[in-house]
Amino acid sequence: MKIQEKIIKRNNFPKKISKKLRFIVTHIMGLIILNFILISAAEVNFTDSSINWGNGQVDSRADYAILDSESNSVINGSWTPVQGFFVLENIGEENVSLNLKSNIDASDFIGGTNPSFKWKIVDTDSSCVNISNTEFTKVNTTENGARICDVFYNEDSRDEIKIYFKLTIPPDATKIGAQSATITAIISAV
Amino acid sequence: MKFKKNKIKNLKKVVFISFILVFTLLFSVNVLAVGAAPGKIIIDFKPGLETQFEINVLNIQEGTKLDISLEGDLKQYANVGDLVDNKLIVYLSLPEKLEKSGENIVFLRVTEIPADSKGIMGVTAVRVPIIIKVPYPGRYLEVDLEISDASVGKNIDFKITAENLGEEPLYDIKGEIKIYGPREELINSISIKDMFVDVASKEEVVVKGKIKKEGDYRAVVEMNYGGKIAKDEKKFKVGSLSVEIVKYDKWFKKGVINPFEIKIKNKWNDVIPGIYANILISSENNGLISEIQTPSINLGAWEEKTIMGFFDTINFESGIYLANITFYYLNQTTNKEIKISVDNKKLISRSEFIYSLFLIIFIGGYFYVRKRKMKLNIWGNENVY
Repeated sequence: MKIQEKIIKRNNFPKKISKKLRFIVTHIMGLIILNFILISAAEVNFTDSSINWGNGQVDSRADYAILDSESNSVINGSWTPVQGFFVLENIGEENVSLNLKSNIDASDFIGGTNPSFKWKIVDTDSSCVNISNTEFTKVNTTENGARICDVFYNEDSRDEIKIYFKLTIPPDATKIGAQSATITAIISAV
Repeated sequence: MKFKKNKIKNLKKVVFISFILVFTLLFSVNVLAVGAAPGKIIIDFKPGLETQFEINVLNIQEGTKLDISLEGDLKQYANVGDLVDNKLIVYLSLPEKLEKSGENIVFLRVTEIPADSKGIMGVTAVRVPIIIKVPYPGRYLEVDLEISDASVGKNIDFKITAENLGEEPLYDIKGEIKIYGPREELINSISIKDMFVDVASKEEVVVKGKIKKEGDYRAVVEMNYGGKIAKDEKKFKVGSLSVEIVKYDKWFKKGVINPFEIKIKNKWNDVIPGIYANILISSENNGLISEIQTPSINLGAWEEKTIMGFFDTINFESGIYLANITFYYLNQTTNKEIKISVDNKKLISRSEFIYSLFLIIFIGGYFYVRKRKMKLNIWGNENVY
């Protein structure tokens, strides 16, 4: 038991130290720059964010193809199944609210008949209060996006969420060439 | 018909070409981040106030472009300067009067603009709320209660913040915290010492308490200021260092290696590291037959997770066995003895049996009533048949 505990503590060590160092450095800088006013930062970071299904096409006679990064599956298509997700981490010293928006919806991203571009939020460490979009939900393209967490914690043991993606591609998809979509995590200190 | 087929074929070719290109780059993501310090600014409204704030924009990588804007109903009273040395100056020039009492918020929004627009980019935006507190007319007190989840028998801090958001100082504020138990029964009532809160200021007081039983609780604070009541309430949990076995597999296929899943819950208000289970499988006739050990996991405060071991039933006969599950964590154990079935047919649990029985009675009842109705119709109303 003791060995296991030590391993766990050692694994958490660099993250904790880096966060605390950042906190100390930020505060020292704040003390110098802002004339003895303590400051605390609201800050999040995307890490572990690489998903690539490669090349592919919708199977002939199929109504549509589904690319799902959570279930590691491609249905009715020749893309390579991959399991992947974005990880969003609260690296600041503030608890924040979190909204998520996409700059593009399914019709502009994929086109054709009934395409879909969805995300799903998974919170394994109870990092979120009042989490939403925990099932695959159409991406939100409004100015402030969809509210994901009322409070997104900054504590070492609970400060990250995962975002999975699912695409439905119809055979008559109209978008030609490399397309792009920007997923923006919008935070605000609470 | 032939024309339609060719059209579909051509369309599919286009789609094929498109998506070869599209998804080569799709979901290859650059890692970006932006932050702001301070993350929040709070000021009290003063007629005609002119002031400015410096906000540090953090984590700007070389070449990153930013979109900087102001949002909110009061944005016409704010301006933001250019980014110089990763700093922004926000200028506020407030009017003589604001109609809305309470919090008025102007947001400074800083959004990264991705340099490379191919594929899907994960970018961040930070909204810094600049909160302008406008006093309420007359007397107005706002109270906030903060409680953290706690452990049985340990001190619990009830932090009460009373803020005077009105135009008059408030004397002799009397307060009380009431704590309600899991069944909404009143557990305790604690008085708070009398307080004085001046205009545009706040006072904090911490009241300590202990709770002897684990469970979900609710605390309500009420502050009386000259006949008016300010109130806030919060829910909190009180736990003990224990791991609860919530759910487990009961049926295992014969002659294969089965996953043995057990769902557990941390009942402690902190992380429990290195939890693992040892499962002893035995039968009445042969005693101990097999032993399973799971890998270890960490459980966050109040977290639920499923832990899995592997149960090899290759040398097992069909039948009912006993599984003695023991979880080990921080020099403590949680134990449960259950009956499991090794077979090619699934063991029906008691609840499943009750549901099935209920369903049979319900369906039987339905047909019985229907048959009776038909009989009544046949003999009671000649026009029906």
